[in-house]
Amino acid sequence: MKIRIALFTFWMLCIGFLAKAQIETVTLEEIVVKGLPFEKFSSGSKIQKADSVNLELLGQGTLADYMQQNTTVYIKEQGNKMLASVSFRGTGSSHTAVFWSDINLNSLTLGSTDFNEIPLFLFDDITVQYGGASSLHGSDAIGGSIHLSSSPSWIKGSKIQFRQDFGSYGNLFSGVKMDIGNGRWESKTRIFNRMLKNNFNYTITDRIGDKYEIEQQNAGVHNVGVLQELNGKITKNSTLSMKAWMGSNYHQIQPIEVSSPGQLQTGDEILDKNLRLVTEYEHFFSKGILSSSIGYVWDYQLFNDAERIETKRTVANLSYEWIIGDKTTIKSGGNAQYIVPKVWSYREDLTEWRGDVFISLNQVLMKNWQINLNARQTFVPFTTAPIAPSISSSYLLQKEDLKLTFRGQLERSYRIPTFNDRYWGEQGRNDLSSENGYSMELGHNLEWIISDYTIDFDVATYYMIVDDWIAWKPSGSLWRPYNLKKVKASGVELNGKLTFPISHGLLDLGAMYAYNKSILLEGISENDPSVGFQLPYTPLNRFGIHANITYKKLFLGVNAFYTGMRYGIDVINEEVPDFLLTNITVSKNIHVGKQNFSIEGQVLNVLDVSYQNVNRYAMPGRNFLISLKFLINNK
Amino acid sequence: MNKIIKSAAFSAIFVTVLLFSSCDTGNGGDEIPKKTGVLILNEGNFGSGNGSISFYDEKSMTITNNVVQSANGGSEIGATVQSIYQHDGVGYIVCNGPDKIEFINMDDFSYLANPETNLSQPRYMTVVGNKGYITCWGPWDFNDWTLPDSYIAVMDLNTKTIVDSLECGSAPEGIFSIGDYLYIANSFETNITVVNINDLSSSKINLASMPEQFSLDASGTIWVSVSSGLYGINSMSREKTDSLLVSNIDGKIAMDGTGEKLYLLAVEPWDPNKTNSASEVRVFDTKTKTLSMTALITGEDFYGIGYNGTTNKIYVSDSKAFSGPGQIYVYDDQGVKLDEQITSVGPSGFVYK
Repeated sequence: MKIRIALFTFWMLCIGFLAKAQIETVTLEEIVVKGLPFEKFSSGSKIQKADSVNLELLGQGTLADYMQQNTTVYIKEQGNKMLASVSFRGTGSSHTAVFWSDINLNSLTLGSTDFNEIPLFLFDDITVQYGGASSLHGSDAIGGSIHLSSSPSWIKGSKIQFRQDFGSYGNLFSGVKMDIGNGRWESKTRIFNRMLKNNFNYTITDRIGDKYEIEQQNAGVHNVGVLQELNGKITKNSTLSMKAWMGSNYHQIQPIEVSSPGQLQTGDEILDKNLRLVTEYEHFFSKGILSSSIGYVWDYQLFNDAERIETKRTVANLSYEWIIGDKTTIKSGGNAQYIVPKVWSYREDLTEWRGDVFISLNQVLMKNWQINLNARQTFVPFTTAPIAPSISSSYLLQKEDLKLTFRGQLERSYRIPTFNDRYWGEQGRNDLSSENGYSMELGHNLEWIISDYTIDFDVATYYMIVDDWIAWKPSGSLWRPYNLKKVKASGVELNGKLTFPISHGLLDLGAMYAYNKSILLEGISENDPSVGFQLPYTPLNRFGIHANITYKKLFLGVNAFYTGMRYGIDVINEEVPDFLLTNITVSKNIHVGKQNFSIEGQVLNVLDVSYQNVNRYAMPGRNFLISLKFLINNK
Repeated sequence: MNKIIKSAAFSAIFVTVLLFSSCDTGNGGDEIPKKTGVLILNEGNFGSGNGSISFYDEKSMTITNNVVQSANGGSEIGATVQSIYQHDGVGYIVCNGPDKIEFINMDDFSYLANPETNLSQPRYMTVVGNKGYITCWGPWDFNDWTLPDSYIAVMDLNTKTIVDSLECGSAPEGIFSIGDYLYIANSFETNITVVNINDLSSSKINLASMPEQFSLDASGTIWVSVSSGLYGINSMSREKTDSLLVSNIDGKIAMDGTGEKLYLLAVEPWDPNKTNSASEVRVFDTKTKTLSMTALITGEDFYGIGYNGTTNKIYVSDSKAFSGPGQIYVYDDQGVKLDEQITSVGPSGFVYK
């Protein structure tokens, strides 16, 4: 109830500001911030930005869909639209930091994010940074990090989009995006509701070889999300942003496939609710930028309508960026968090303070050659986090229409043990050390424009050690966490794209490929049979191709994604077969004055491939999605 | 008189009871054929359906994993395997997630039946006559992680249907039958339920800590492993006769072929400075009712124990915390290691054929 009142108050405040803003007539200089603030301090790392066309096509989907279709990163999905865990460069789901407004969304209790609970509809930009980046982002950024954001558009007037999707297996998505502003103040609202019965059919072969069609039970999904942002240029050189993101994600937990047609498929259910409130203030001085924010995050999880896991945190960030001459930028700052967990197995009065301090340097050494030096220290009670330094550099070779950027980075990264690791019952340990990552990467990016052809080609190679990887193991009947495992990961990632105009349109062809070898060097105990093998659910190979044609107001897109064989948990005896998924999209735009209507049809898994991402969890065959979008522009 | 009845009853029904298993009804004499084939139960990960059976051949000292899947054209068990009970050439594989009982032919591991049972979290099974008795945890109460609706399912093995359910305490684990009585270890309580299978009357034997498994010795005493040691129960009078405190026992026990030595898994107290808790096998002499002062076998992360009474080999499994393939170690009865093999995920129990 309190939350509803808080939300309502916030909403009213937003509307109040807006009303006030619209009365004033102001002309302000444009304050333009390009890219995310951290990017200038990570010149040596591979950063991938979401293509707005792809993001729009996946508008009713989740971050898991985006990652699967647009990156070489592997998403382990435990059933259709069920728990989706990310694996960047062979690391685990808790080795990826997911940020929204400088808040790491990873659960404090479990240490990771379910990528199927992050709706794409709410965000305009997704920035994926590959490799370790703890010096910039703190804990968890060992394998990679993801930044969800919506930059202010400083709209004058209004823009409203309605979206309605109808898909197979009771998939219904309704969403509204509404941007209203006067150039100085703007309100951005995103609301959606998504329901999925997920009662797709799959085929089993029973004990005597007979085949049966089984309807999937207990796999329903219901997501609701609201994101309200209010952005304002409060003075000539300062901005204020207030954001509230409320999400409710319910899903039944899809059980494994049955082995006979009569078998019951009962299962569990989980409800996640989150509230994230942030107020950000930025002040632009002639030689510097002051950034500050204060936020509140409430994470709530209810398992089977009974077991509750809850954390509340208050987060404050403060940093200052000095621009010293033409060649030097230094940014320094810190953050503090106060965390109050409420978990049945934790001490009742448990609270925790933690904080970070950091410093980053961007130095232009020569024309087109820049170097970054970054360092960060996290302070957490009862556990030691290392000082995480990094050195990152890039060199740009430019010749007319050809831009070739070489980049390289050395990084130490870390992950603080989760609350469960440290405080669970009598087993949680306050003497665990942080997990440590050491990574090295080299790459280059080529941008080449030959007459009408634009070529973009990126190569990244990396080598990484993750040590002190925390695993739980039994000592007698009790399980406890230990700093046990050590993993070596190395690989190469290729991304290529070619675009060229055709008569009345554009052709966009792309391909991506990743080879990742992640070997367990130290396991649960000295003679662990898994040592020397590729980690479970870590494909050696992934690739994807796409071809998009825009012709007049018509769009046709075909994409295909291949995920190579993964080992199951038993890395010696269990192989989970590779799969290739192909999707086709057709869409048509109709303009009527300022209004824009579009209709889009998608055929997913066109080849009706019977596959599993995680062994024994059925996935749907060929299925369909129709999206209707209506955009009203009043600029 | 009592003693005569006791020994007569015992010789008629003497079975070598090993953890998670019971042999075929034998004669208890000297001419027990050697059972050199060992089925190893790999539990698999919770909810992942990757439980499996491995087969170890004592003669060639080789292991074959996933034997049930291989024997059935690739059709895997597809569940977490909780226990196996062997009776009259049939292996009853008790599974969770999905909850079911798979019947296999113990000769070639082919599936015999996969009946619809609607059991809720079945754990262990025993057979008396043509009826199977299955301990079932029932559904969790997620408010406080308790098991308020546990029961014993009674299966008619001819029709392969559940015909009755018997009351018991919370979280029944081991189930053991001797004569007309069933003994059920209520592992979330500190008592044992005893059921007369003729009139279905039941009573309880109170203990001071939570029971896990049963094992019958040569004198007819039923030894119950509990979280703090062992209790002896007279199988004739159904009364508690002995209690023994053993620190850090983890409830896993295995009786030798003569019914004179009981092997126990124990774990050293947790030490935060070590990356594992040393595990050990200790020996309890059922005649003198004394526990060996020193460990017969020491190692790391032991999870299951078995004893092949026909070849006098001790089997110990190491689950590797279910993080990948596990291992088994084979010892002679003096604790000398003979072999070690890699299994699938979570090896926990042994059955001999």
